[in-house]
Amino acid sequence: MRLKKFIDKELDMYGISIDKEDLPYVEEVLSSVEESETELEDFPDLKEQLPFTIVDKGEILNG
Amino acid sequence: MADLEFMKASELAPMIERKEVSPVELTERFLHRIDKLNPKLNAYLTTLETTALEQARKAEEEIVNGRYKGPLHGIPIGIKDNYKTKGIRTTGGAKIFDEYTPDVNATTIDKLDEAGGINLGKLNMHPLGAGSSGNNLDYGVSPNPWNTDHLPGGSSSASATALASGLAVLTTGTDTWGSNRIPAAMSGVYGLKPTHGLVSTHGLLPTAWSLDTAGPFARSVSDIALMLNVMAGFDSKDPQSLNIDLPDYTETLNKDIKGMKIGVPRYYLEGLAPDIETLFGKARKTLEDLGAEVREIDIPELSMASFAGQVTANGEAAAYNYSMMQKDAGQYPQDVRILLSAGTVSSTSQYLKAQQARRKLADAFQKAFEEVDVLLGPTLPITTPEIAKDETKQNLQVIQRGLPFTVPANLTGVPSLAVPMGLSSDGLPAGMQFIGSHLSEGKLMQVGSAWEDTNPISVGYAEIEGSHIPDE
Repeated sequence: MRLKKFIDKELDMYGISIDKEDLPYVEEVLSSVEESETELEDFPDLKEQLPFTIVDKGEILNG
Repeated sequence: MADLEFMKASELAPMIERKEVSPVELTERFLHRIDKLNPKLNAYLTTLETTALEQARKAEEEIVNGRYKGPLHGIPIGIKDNYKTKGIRTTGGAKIFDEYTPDVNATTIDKLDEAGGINLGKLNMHPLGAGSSGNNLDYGVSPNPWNTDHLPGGSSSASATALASGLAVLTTGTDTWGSNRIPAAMSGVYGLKPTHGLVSTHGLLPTAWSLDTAGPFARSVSDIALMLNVMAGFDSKDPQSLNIDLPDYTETLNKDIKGMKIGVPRYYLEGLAPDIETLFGKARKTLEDLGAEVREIDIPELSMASFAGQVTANGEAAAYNYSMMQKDAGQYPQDVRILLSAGTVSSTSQYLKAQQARRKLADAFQKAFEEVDVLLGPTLPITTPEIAKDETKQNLQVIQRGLPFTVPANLTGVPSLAVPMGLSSDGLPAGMQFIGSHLSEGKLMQVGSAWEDTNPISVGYAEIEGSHIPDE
């Protein structure tokens, strides 16, 4: 219930309005993400990693 | 000529070159099949009768006049509907784009055109690439031809169903977290997720920029190689495109795999459905019989793939669709809206943590490829589900089971070739995937074609339920 209220409030803050029937599904996705996030605890050096982001190599090479 | 619709491009091409098969007659034959079967299979959202026949007549004229372009010349191809096609409706499988007609082609469409391919039409897909069930709540599902009560898998659902039912010789797909490999597994065909940057993504409707790849689908590895030869290559319009020398991907076909080291991450052995476990065990044994050295390895970092994949995909998809969601979220199909909503409320720190996990996983893969030539795992841990009444819930279930198996290749940018593994006890196909290091597509063609030669699905495509033309 707490998570559903959070989702509703957050989406409202972003100006997005969804059906109330959507909330349990969104909650399910976020719970799955939250659960899978616990796997990161096995890798305490994660915060030292350089994030994997897109680099436009052409732009770099061509100045 | 029997089963012309189920012949490989590598078989048709020499016949077309020798003028034994007419591109016009071949295209007419496919259009006739589409006309008859599409009402049931819903594979094509747009059929291009007029332009396909124009392209076929042009190809035929060129060939008759001695200007044969190569193996795709005169070959009928189906295009996933998230590839922009100039002057042709491009919906991304979603009604929100129902009337969208681009004024440019995706780069890969230009390449296929230049190679002489015939565009039969635009293929059904999971809306906006945001799903793994392959069900389409806007335009209806393109059901699994092996059993039309079952899912096709997604997001490139009809890229696979069209091949399995003889509605194209080749098809294109896109793969963001498994969208080529999951439907390939469920319909018993071959699908490649190439190295990130090998095939241009310019002109695709994006799902998640940093994970999206475009790639070929076919009924054989040799056809995957032929198509990749055309689709791959540097594109200055795509900032992620790799400017490298390309090999001929057909060169490694039919080479033996004696001594090839194949690593099976133990991660891919957890939670398998009994049928998948049995088929995968048999496949490992068969590969050993072919002379490969198959051994289990540990890549603990794979446990982060589910988190990194969900957060990256949902977050990037939410960013792309943000303004349209603000305007009217109700115009999106529910299952897509759910993922976009989840991506909107995820935190920036989660997104960055996901990118850190990607770096660590990429390093772990690189280390693994110092020990083995390729990795192997089932494409999905589950057998192909029946279509459920609650499509939204089912899509989430398929994502939650499938994504951890397929997204590692997207997160790290390495290539993965999905191949049929056999039939489960309910008679539906199941698949497995070979994963290689960056730019090792040639090696994947080698091991894939050796595997294909073992005839993993002995039943011909022409024998399956969805392939029959109703009596006239």
